[in-house]
Amino acid sequence: CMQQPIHQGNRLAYGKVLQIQEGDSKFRVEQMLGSPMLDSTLHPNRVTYYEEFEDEESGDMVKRGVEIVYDEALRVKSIREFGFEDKQ
Amino acid sequence: EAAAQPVVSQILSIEVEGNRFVEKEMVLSKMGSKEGQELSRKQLSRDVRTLHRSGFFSDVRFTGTRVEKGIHLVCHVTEYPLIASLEFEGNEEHTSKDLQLRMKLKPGQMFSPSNQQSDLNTFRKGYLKDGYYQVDVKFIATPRNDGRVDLLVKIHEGEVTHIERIRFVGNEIFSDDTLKGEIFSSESNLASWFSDKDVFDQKRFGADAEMLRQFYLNNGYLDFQIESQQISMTPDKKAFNLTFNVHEGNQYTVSGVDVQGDLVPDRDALIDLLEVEAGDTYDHSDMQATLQALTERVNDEGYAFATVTPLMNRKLDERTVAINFDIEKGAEVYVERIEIQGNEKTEDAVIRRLVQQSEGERYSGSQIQQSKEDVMRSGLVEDVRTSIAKGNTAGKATMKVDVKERRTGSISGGIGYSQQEKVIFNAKVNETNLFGKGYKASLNGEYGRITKNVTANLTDPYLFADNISGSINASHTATDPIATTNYRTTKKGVGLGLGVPISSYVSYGLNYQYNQTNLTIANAAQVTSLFVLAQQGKQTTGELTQRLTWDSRDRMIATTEGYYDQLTFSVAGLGGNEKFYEAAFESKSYFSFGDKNVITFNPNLSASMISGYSNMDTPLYRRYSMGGVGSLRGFDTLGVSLRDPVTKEPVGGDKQVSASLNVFFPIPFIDTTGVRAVVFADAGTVWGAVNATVGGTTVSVTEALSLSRVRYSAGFGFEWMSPIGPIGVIWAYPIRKVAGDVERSFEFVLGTSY
Amino acid sequence: CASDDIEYTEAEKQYEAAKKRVEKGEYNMAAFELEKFSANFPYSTYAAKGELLRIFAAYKGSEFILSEMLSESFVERHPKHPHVDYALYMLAMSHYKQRGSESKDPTHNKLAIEAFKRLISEHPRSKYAKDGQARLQKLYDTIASHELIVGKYYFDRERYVAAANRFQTVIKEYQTTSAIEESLYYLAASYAEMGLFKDARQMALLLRHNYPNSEWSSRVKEYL
Repeated sequence: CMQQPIHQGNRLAYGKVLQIQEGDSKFRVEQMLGSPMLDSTLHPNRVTYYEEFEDEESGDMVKRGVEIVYDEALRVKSIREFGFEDKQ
Repeated sequence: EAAAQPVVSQILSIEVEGNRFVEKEMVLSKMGSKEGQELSRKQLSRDVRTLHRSGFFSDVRFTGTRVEKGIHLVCHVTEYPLIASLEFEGNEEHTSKDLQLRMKLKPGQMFSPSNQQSDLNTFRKGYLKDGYYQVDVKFIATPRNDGRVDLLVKIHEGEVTHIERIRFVGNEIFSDDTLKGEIFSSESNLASWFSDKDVFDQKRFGADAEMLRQFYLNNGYLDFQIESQQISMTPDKKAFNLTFNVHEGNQYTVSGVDVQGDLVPDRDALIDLLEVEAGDTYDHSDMQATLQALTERVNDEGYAFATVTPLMNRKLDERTVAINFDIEKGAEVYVERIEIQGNEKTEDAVIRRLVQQSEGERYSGSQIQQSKEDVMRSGLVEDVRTSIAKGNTAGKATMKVDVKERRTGSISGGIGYSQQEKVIFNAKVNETNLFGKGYKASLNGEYGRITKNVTANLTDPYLFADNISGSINASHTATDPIATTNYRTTKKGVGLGLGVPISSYVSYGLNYQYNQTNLTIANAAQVTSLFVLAQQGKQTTGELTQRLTWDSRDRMIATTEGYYDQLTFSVAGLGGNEKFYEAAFESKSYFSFGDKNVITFNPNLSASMISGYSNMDTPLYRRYSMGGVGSLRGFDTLGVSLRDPVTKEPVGGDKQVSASLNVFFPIPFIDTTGVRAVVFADAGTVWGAVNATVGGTTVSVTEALSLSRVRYSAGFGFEWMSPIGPIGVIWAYPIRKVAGDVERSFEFVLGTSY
Repeated sequence: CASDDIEYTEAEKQYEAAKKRVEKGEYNMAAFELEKFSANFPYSTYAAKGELLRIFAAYKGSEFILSEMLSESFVERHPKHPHVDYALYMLAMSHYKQRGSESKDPTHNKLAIEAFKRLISEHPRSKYAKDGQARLQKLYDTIASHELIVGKYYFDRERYVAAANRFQTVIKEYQTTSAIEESLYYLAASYAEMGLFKDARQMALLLRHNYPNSEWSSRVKEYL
């Protein structure tokens, strides 16, 4: 009930997330965002950078992240962001 | 043998000769060259080296007979002899059993040079530590007919060597005496038979140099150099003279301080961590403290392997130094997994919930430090070691928490003695880790001539998967009349409580207690105080208590550092017919000095007041009287109280204040751990107004607060943290007492820590 | 030569004496005496037999740390001994006896797994390998439930990234254990809590497909 919320998952700076383009290599993505904290054992070529923390002002939990799908050559095929509506 | 054109030299077979103890298969398994392989000179020489390193063979040689299709290889080995028996000669300082325990050479092992060398080092290190500089050890092996040897270890221990004089050359700014105060070694003098500081010790001599350097650096002498250190033996070879030649150089002041490199989290946060300011004389320890603070701050931003290096550039002519802390944050590290180890009895969650760092979260150095403290304070473990190892993917680390569990169940007994209760037996069955789930359960019983009580308590420190603690308790107490009282009481009670942590040191407690008490007159014929008569029969109390506690003690038992302050406020009247409220304050603080033999100062203060409301009197058993361990040593239970003017029975006051100072210190000569002495002084008094109405007549006793009625006492005692719990004995002497007080000067306590 | 015969019979006499002690069940005494035996008769043919007997005595006397150490050094010094599979089995069983339950320290469980796997791979036809196989499954179950328990610990405290990773470890390394069904369920629940509904549905389908009549797949409706 009174769990102290923690800042879990990758610390995602939205500026960096924006710089990821289709065609980027997995190496370049991991240089920008680090390696994803959330494992993706069952679908290694589809990774999710996930982040959850308590927003200081509003006090409610922000759940956001970016899902990246790589092709066989480990190049970014598609990018899907979620939870970045009120972009900081 | 070398044919003209290169001949295919395949290894057809490998034989081993000369081995008795070591089997052929073992030699073959250690060799790189295998049957059917191409013979390679390089591999063979590597095999020779591996077989030598195995420590079994004094000689290893390969020979080969070439046949048309390849080579038959033979490995000739000569084994070191095995030891059949081992004797010692000339060892007075250490027993043969002790020496044998630490030695590699023992019956059934090989008498090999590597074992001999390592044992010689162990001997030298052990004896040097105690100052035996002329120690000399010889191994004499007499062979037996079956190839084994009987080993004799001849030891010549020699004398302990002392330091006679320490001299300093080249020190103008600081005198010889100040410098002598800074180093570990000291000259032999009267007190030296008490400590071993005057015994010459190579390691300590090295440390002395470092201490000197630190001393000068802390006072701004950046150019300080130890030009040379000499040890010279006195003519009679019984003692040493130590000489340090130093070059002091100039004193430097700090011209400027700055931070550069990866400014994480930001420049200002780092700037206000600096403990070095422009204008002060340079102080090395401040610089070290700043370094530590900066590194920890950057660690907290997830950079577990950050490094901070102080760049110092000096201006020789102006004697100033500018310090620039260069920060390299390295990779941002996330903790991927936390593995708890060493918990054979305690459940994983019971330890994990004390670890603030979580998996899937960025690394934070201070969180890990806090977790270590919390695990140590849980009372479940004796020791905890945390380590961070880089994971297989970059930026991810695995944290290991290795605990050494403590025996958490204890059965302890206590025997007290007092004029009133005569011999009191108390027993306590306590388990702080019930079923490995971290539940704390205790059953306390106390049996004296006067008071007999039993209380049971069960606490779960982690209710609702959060760190709220819930507890339930039940108790039954019966008290018989004492010399000055003429009533018997029985009290049955149950209660439940909640504890909520507000911060790592502050917690709030709320509990409700429902008691049923019954007071009966023991001897109707005897004249009894009206106060007592007014409280005859059954009473019920429904009491709600709130507590705010600050607890930063480093350990629950034998605390050396930290504070324990508690503010309590309770109201009775929610159910039950008693109506009163009570407010109390208690404060204990602990300060320690010295690292090897620790002296702890422990001042305590407490005050409380109780008062009935809607014209009800406070219940007799809740009024304040003082006396005994934990309250006012030197006086008996209820020894200090308000008394019925006629019958002198203690009726208790409604206000009290007490203070005490304990000084704990180790006892010289006895260095068994956990034994310490205590010297203490207590002071306290009870006052206020108490009244009772019986059959229309009201009677009251009032006592104003007056300094001349404050009782105080002093005394000393010994405490031993024995395996079965704390054992203590105290002697206390009341210095100022008031007519009617009852004394208790001696108490032997087993199990109840005080 | 003569000296060898005397030594031969003396070694045999002491070996037989120790063997009788073991048959009488005085394991700890036998283990203690056999230490002197291997020091006194290192070259005799009875040396290796003595070591094996001592391992057995220490193990039956529940001195598992001793039996672990002795069997490990036997395997290293007699790699091709006809009974080396027995020594390997004793090494594995010593760890097995010191194993923790699923909510305790798993170190000995992991060491036991390694030893049993080595026994099965190096001596597949040994009679000890069959028993090793059964114990391996039990050890894997314990380790998998350990991962599951820690995962649920983090799930209860809303640390969904940590929880999801723990459940994925079970799915990656311990599919054949009893913890797999519950792990799939909680992985789906963790994904749902994180708003990753596509992944949640994928796990729910996997659970339904592979374990249709498990109690956990009936609870997965909300994630489908």
